Amino acid sequence: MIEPPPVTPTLHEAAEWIIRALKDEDFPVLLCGRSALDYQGEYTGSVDVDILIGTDFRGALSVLDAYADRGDLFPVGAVPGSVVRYLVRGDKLVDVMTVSSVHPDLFNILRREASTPLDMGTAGEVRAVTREGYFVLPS
Amino acid sequence: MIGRKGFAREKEDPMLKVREAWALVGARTDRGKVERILSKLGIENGLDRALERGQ
Repeated sequence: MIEPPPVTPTLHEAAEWIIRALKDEDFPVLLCGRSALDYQGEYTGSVDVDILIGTDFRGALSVLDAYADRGDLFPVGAVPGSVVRYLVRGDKLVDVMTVSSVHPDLFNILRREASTPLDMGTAGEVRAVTREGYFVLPS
Repeated sequence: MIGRKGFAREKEDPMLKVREAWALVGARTDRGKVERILSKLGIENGLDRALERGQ
């Protein structure tokens, strides 16, 4: 496990921390949602972080459960099999999602055709969906 | 897709966020590429359908 997140994290710090927690266990992730666009220079005013898990969604959730047990995260809702919503330090909202139920290759298609690398500081390089990827996801 | 399967599915209008985002960044978005990717997923005119409500 990685160290706990900052006590009152900014949205960026919360994103960086949870991505690092998932990458620490080698889960492939994609940053998506409006925050992904904001990181690419748009100004959509995102207030949460959306993270797509590329494989073993249940395994990723079990990793995050361990952080929840430690008090770093609080699960605040779920759509079984597709989305789990957490608050990092009880404050910053993060949705962790899988798209395998939509299409088994959707994650790889987005990573290959509609994402771009971002430097996420301590979390290292992370791929984020582009504008086109953003509109593929909810359409 | 995820909007209809995730938290947004409970909303009366789960595609509202799509239209709001389109108003913000749609002019700089390659619409053809979105439709090409959706087509690979077996979804035809998905973006059109997401955007049409409220027009």
